[in-house]
Amino acid sequence: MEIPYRELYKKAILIRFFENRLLELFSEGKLFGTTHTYVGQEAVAISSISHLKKEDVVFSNHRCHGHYLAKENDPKSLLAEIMGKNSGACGGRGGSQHISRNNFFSNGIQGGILPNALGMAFAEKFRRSPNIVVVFIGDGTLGEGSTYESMNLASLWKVPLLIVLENNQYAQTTSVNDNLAGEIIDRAKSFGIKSNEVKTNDVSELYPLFGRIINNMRQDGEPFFQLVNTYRINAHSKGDDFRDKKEIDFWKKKDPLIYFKNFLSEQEINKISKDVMKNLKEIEKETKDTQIKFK
Amino acid sequence: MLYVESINNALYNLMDLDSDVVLVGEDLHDPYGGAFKVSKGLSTSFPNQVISTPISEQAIVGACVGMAMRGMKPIVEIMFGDFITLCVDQIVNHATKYHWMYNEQVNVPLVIRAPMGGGRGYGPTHSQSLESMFMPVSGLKICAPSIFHDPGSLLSECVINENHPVLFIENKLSYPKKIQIEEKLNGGNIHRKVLEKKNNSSETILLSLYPDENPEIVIITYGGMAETALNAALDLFFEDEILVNIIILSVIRPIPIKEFLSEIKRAESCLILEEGNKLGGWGGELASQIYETCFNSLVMPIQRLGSDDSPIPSSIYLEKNVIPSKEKIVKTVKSMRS
Repeated sequence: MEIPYRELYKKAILIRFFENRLLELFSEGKLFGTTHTYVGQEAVAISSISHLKKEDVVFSNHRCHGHYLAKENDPKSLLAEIMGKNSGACGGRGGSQHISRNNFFSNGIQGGILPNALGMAFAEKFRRSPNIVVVFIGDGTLGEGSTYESMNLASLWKVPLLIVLENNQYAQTTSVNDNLAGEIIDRAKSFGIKSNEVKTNDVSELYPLFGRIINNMRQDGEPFFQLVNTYRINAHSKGDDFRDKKEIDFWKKKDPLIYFKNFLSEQEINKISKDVMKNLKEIEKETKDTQIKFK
Repeated sequence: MLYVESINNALYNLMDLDSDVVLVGEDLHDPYGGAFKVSKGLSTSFPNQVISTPISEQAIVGACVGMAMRGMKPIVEIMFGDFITLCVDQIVNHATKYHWMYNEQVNVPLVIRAPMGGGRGYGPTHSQSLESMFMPVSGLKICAPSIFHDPGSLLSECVINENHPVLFIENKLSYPKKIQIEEKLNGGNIHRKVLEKKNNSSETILLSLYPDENPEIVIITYGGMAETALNAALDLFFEDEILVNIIILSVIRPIPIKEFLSEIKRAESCLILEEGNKLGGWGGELASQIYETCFNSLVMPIQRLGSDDSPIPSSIYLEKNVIPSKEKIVKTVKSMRS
């Protein structure tokens, strides 16, 4: 499988710049509410969503910016939404964690989106459409009972639902080791859902992996559970990070962006980064200057 | 026609007309046909559209939210209305949020049917009327037809024409009763009138012995309490010569108050009657709205009657003391006049 490294890097660096800029804007007092950045997990979103068609559905969670940017490639509507502008993806009503555009949806309730994605996959099967539904959940979601109700039904109904579990090792501030009994992968297995586990941030592994999974799903129309063990480099939200610095440094060496150096020249990387940054700066200026209109 | 037959027929016709209509819930399949037999025969006629599920209320409602967002027309049956507590997150944070928070880019045309109410000795967790819990949930419509409505046609209206979530409450004691939708009831002495509609899926009914005369008291109620109210009104007139009219709502949220304001103004005051807990109940909201809109026309304070602030006892004898009865209504109306 040929891997479009340039395109993937463009998406990865867009997510990285976008998220880190949000934290700066927060510290400058230019944003309100809260946000959950996707820094460190970029490889998962871009490697999976890049295989989807426009008609396929993505249902994401509170940490949804990376998935949105990978699916819609539209930082302007996302930034405007987070800044509370009418031109935002949801007119400012949704904010950071409640985004929708085309076939992308996100909501901030742990476990609540899984039944919704299940029903959407049911609808696709019911109407004999070739589309699949991808739902992103985290290790923290495994504490919610709806996760298990939904996995049972997904297996029973045999619907084209890809559950991507991004284990970023922390449910807000609580380590997965303190939260979770047993093995994550066994949960999917026990419902008879085909499943797989990897521990990597390397797109050269993840992109072909998701390509195979999604191709197979289009053939058999059955659910699949992919566990990716990764790491959230930033804090859960805007700050308050109590994790061991050594642990964070260990994972920084496995930053998904580093792996691109094996496949793209420094020149290419710099050029793409510069272009993406320039575009983001223009978007930010334009969005900041937009006046709010009340209906 | 029986109340249960009206809903069953409506479900049949809805699935027959539109293959995107699905009925989802626990134990719906024939020969069982649902705990209250509402789905009897349907899985035989529409095997692909009747989906019996595991006991997973949250996932069932959540999945139907997803189906609705993709353009299907799901109807969920919650076996006992008490189990709606297991779906509250899906109703509050998902079904009723998506249309608004996604800036109207999606609709969620979902109908959740739930049998509520006591009177059958099912006890504290299978007899409640919990619909008033949902009064503050923006974006939700609550229907609760009585036997003086055609529940099937109201259900069809919700499924066909609503783009947003509807909680459809069916009173358990109503299922085996005949629906009474003629202009004259009770051998001809009760007049049944549909009040002017402000919205298609709402149907507010006025029952009156003498519709041209101004009543002393008007009882405002819905669902299973409607028949109890009528029996009390008959006793009050024939034994005490007190003329009491009854307003019966089919939609209780949002309250279609404009449909019956003029009927309130004709009476000296009103008694608001509900089967659910009086404390924090639906009637408190309605009373407030009436005070805000027609305080000057009231001769005496509004009274409310609902269940006592107690769990519903299993014992059928004890249960009678908790839930409003004909006797309690008669006593309350008499006390309003003295």
